[in-house]
Amino acid sequence: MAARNFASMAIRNRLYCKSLSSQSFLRRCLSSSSESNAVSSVGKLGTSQEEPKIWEDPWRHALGPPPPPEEYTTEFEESSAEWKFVERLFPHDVIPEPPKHESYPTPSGWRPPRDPAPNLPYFIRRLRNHMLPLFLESRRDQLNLETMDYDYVELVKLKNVQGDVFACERDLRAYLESKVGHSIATHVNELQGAIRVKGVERADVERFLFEQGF
Amino acid sequence: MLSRQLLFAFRGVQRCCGRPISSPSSVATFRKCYVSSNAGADSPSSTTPEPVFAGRNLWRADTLTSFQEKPQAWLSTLEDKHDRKIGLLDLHPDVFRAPPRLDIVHRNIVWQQNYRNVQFTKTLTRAEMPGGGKKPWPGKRMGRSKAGSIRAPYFRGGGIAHGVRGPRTWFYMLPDALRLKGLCTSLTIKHNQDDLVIVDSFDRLPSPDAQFLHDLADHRNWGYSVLFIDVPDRACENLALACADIPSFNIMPTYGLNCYSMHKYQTLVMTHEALNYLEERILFHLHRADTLQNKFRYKDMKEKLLNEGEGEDDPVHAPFV
Repeated sequence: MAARNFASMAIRNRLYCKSLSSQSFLRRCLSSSSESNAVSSVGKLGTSQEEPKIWEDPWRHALGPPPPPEEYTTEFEESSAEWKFVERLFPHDVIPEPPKHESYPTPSGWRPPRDPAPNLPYFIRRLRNHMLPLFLESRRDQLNLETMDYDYVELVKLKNVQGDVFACERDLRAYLESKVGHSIATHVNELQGAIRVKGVERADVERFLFEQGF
Repeated sequence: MLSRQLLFAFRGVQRCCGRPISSPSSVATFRKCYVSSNAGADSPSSTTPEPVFAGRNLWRADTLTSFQEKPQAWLSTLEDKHDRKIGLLDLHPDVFRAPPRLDIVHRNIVWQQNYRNVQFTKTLTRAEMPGGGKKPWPGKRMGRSKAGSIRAPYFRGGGIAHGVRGPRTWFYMLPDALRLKGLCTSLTIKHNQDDLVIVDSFDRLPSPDAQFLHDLADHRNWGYSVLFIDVPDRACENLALACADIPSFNIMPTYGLNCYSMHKYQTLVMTHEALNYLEERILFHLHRADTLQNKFRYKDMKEKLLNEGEGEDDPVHAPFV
């Protein structure tokens, strides 16, 4: 009788537990449907009513309720303090003025034009990038009958010569012939203010211009 | 010579305002005189700039060279047919005293005339003509000349041998450097030959009467054709109505300025605002960091060109081409 009672009791207990669990499950479902949907199985937002039982969430019982989620404010503050780091990466739209150095010539050999300009009957204006107006031209010469290739002549062109171009050409030729040692050929384009020189390096003409102060 | 010109200007002002001016160097008294005498007559428009007598700020003008003249121009007004000078402006030497590169101006004008040409005609060759596949008669025994096809060029109604093979375009773009130099040289020529007139504003024109503008141009010896240049592409009402009746007087916005028009019209009349705008833009491009030798590829401009007339569709009227 006792064993049967006990067995029945056990069965009844099991059934009761099951029903309890099912009831709690049902209760949970009903409560979750009545409330908002943001209820997770592991960590529940804490009201005392919704605290799960120990057997439903033993982790919570062991570790304690989870910490509340971090709340971030949606306000923001605009700051333009770091804009200068972006601005300095922009490309230039206009060629800037060259910086002032302590001594000239600079390591690359550049010198600014002398102020005031030299007292000469001509003036050679710098280009917009503050460099001297010296260019290289390669013109086709005669056909070399031995190699059957065209020979090319390299000329140095000096542009932007204002004033008396012929006086400039005379001074330039005298300087270069003394420096180089042999005679050189020049051509003057008066309308365009340009002088073409054959038989010199561009660096020699540059030295002449820097010495004159242009 | 310049001081004599100044003296003449002051004498003119003296006459109109009735107050004696002691010395030509008293700029402040000149200004006061002008402003107080014309206070009532001033039109209340915010865009009309103040008459200037002091120097303009010439950005990056080369001060070292003594071989480039510093050009100046009078600032006059259109209120009256008499040419009353209200200021003297310093012009930038890079724009108004550029080297006289006539070869570059020629290239610009030729480019303007040719780059828009499109040829739509096409002639058919003997291969494209209908028929002509069969040998019309045998080569021997006929006593006729040999013929391979009735559409050969020597046949009546045959194809054309070296004909026009359109459509074809003469489009090419001149590099920016050449176009800039052309503009600067043309402006230099216009200013140097006394064909450039700078005016304070076009809305000072008192009436829309074409006869008034005609008399004004005659009195000031402007010539047969005059081009008015202003910054916005909406012209002032009076000037637009007056120029509508005179076929040789035309108005153009600054973005339409070109070498061909500058040489076609005898006189160029510009507002002070237009002068500032032109100088600023030309100087920017003369000193810009980008290269002035551009390759104009069709594929870079294709989208822009094809979408050019997008906002111009009218639901009722057909487009005017």
